[in-house]
Amino acid sequence: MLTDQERELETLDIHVNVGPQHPATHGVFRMVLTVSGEKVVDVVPHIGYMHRGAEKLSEGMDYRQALIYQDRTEYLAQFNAELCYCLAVEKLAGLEVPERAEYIRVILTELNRITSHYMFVGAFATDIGVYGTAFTYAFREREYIQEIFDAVSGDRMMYGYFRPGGVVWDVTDDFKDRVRWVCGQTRVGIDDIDRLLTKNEIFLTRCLDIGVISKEDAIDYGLSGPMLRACGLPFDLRRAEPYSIYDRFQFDIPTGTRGDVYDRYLVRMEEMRQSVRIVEQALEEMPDGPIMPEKAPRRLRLPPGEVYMRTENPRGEYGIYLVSKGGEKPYRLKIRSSCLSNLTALKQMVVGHYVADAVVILGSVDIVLGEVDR
Amino acid sequence: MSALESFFDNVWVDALWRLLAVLGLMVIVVLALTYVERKFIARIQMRLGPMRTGPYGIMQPIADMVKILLKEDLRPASADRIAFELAPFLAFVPVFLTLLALPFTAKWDVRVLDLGLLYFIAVSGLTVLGYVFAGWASDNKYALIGALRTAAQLISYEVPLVLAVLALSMLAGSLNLVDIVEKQGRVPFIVWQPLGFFLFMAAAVSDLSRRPFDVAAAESEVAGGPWIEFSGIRWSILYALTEYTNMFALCVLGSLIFLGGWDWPLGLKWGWWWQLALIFTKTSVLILVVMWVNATFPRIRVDQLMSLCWKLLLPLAFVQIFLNGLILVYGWPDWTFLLTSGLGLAAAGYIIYSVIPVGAPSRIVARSNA
Amino acid sequence: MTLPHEGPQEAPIVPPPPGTIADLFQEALPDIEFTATQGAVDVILIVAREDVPGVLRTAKDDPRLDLKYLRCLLGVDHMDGGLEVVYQLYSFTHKHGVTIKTRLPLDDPRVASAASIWKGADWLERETAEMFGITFEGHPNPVPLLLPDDMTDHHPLRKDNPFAQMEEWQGLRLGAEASKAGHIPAGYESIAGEGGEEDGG
Repeated sequence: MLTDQERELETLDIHVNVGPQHPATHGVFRMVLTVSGEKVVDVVPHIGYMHRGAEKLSEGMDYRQALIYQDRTEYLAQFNAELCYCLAVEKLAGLEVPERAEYIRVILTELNRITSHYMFVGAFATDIGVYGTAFTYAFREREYIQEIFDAVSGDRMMYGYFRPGGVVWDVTDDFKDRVRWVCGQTRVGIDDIDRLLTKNEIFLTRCLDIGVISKEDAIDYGLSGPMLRACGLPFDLRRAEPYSIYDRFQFDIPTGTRGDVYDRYLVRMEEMRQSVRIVEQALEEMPDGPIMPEKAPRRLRLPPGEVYMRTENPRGEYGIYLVSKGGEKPYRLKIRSSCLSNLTALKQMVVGHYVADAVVILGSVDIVLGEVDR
Repeated sequence: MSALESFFDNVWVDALWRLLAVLGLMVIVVLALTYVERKFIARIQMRLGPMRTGPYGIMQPIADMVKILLKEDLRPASADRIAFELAPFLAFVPVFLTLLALPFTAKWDVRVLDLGLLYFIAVSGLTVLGYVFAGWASDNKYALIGALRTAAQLISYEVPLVLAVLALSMLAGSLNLVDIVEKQGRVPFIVWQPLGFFLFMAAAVSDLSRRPFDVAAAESEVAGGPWIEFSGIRWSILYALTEYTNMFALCVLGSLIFLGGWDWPLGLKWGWWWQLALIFTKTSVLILVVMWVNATFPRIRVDQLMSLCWKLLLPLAFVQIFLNGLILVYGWPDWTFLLTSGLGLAAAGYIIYSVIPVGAPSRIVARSNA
Repeated sequence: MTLPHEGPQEAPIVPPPPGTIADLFQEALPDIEFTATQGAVDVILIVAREDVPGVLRTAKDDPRLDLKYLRCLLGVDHMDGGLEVVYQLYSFTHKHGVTIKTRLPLDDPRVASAASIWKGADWLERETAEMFGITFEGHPNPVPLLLPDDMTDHHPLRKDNPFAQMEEWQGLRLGAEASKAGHIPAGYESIAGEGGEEDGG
């Protein structure tokens, strides 16, 4: 029993609901923070606000149509998601992809990785409290690349440009020149953001040793992508299990040493530079030729079988588990979301930090709610 | 003496028109600063800012104001009605009162007080009451957290602000703002008191709840803090009017006591328009610096904010007072002020840039496939 | 009118070539029976439901396998063939991966939870459970993840949970009758009538 005096002194943990409408949740994510003063003692994430049943819908589409759901789940790295889906279908169908199409895919995929990381940097800086300046810097650079995507695919967001077997039509005539210019511009743009943020004293105090996760825990939680590499594990699917034509390019895999928020930021910044390197190499080697196989079937019919195809997306390992039972529709299409797995570790990272850090840690996970909820 | 002049000599009429003048000044300042801030930050962010309303969007503040005035005045059903409706005024009135004690030129003022500096600091510290009222009355957890942060922040940062100003008044030997300006003569106090100026500006930025110290309103964390439940005219009183007027008042004060007010440079007596131009320029520079910092710095965390205040700014303020006392008592030459205070500032920079981060930044290890 | 529609076909069992991870499993788990087949990328092991916890535990802890990373966990509804749970594993040390599958009967869809083996399995199992109605025994927090908490009566990704309207539009399920009955929006009749014979691009 508490005495009256003790009851007066008793403090109360309050629940603070963050989201689904909150500036820091990057969409419709919701987490209930239990705070003691400013310290977080518990966090309960709630997801599913954006669940649109992409997996179920894909089962009702044929292989060509089901592609569009990849754009809609992973709406910040659409080409990467499309590539994963196309590779899964090609693996089952045994389709050979022409050289030119492979190069076009790699260039667009890597450019998409850059735009996605620009988005991360802008949003992350806003989470830390920069008044939109880093955001506008990042978005200006992102826009140059976005214009190329627009010109190539005819859409700014839902590209639907890749096809199982190749790409839907050839790139524009000035594609190489534009991409070459964008590569140079991107190097400048990354340096701009670098100078604005990376060595900023307040940025450092806010990021260093926040949301640390050990390498063992990261593996146990199934983290992937920059989250995993920031813990010091140089695991990149482009190197570990080369898909498409990634075994032809030279690039570094940046890894962190602490596994904190700052390392995740640094890894992503360095990855953008490496992506530029890959794009430049691919531009040099890009041949002319067809963009779809000679005898591409008009309606794809896949033999029965199943495949788990995984690619290295900006946010981590994006996987398509495709089950075919013959016929022209996927029998089951599971999307392995890197964000969902990365979000699993949120509680471990957030508990014990301040409310302000919870927001920063969530930002460093770089979630795309379309991909988390699917 | 004409009838008009004798009419204005009446005490009541005199007081009334001065008050009206200050009110008008305030409205102009708020409108202008709204526009300037939007344009200035837009340029920093490589945007154009408002461009549609009038040439270069100069009518934007008017449009904003009309929008705000026409908005519905909402109050949460569970709010504490009296406190909620009182809060904007509690925040705003102290800021208005500070303007009354500020001289703008040698002749233009509402009232020059002998203890003007003390009055300013004392009254402007009351603003925090309005924010705490607002946060408590809103019955909103974000607002509550924001209000608690504001209370802690404003009360803490009041201390280095007062001490920095105190150190300066030791040099001036007066708390009268006009005296302080005239005392500076050819060399403004920023030269003798660089550390004091740094402390003053840091505390002022914190007082204004601007980045990097805007933990109270932090959009990405508490989504606007104490202001979250306010809308329309109440929001504009609580936020826009109070914030911008406060920024203006603090920057005028800074330019008066540190930048030599209307006297410096040259000490030319060209008349009121020259004095006005000088004080306008100096205030503008300070305001733009505050906005510049606001646009480019990330936000500091609330515990770091507190430790910065109590572990760095406060000891340095004491150091500044101690040094000033030492020099004044022993009658050392003026340049020792610059030397000691400059050394203090350098020490502050060293501490901020080397001690506060908990460790060295991590190194990125790149693995090549070459 | 319906599309030419073959029944679902099962993939044939292709024994993996010697020297794959299947042999390592044989070595590490001599007294457990499983069927190995070569998938398009990975080797697939089909184990009995009772053996699942033992196999997974060994897969993670045995130094020869060292499959520390649970990449993916999903369910598949094979209609009459029951439900299937698929584990996709990877090892960072040996750089090999494997797919482990197990079948559950429709009337008793229970399997041991892997959440105590991999922390990352927690959410993935919650999602699989709500989508397929599979019970993961021993799960620390068995509540729906993506779906509303009260949506426990039907499981969206099961095949008996049709997305009726889309199939109507495509003329697969009801075809002309649905069109007559007014289920098909104006403008979609032609597609339904032709059975979706569009240009293949």
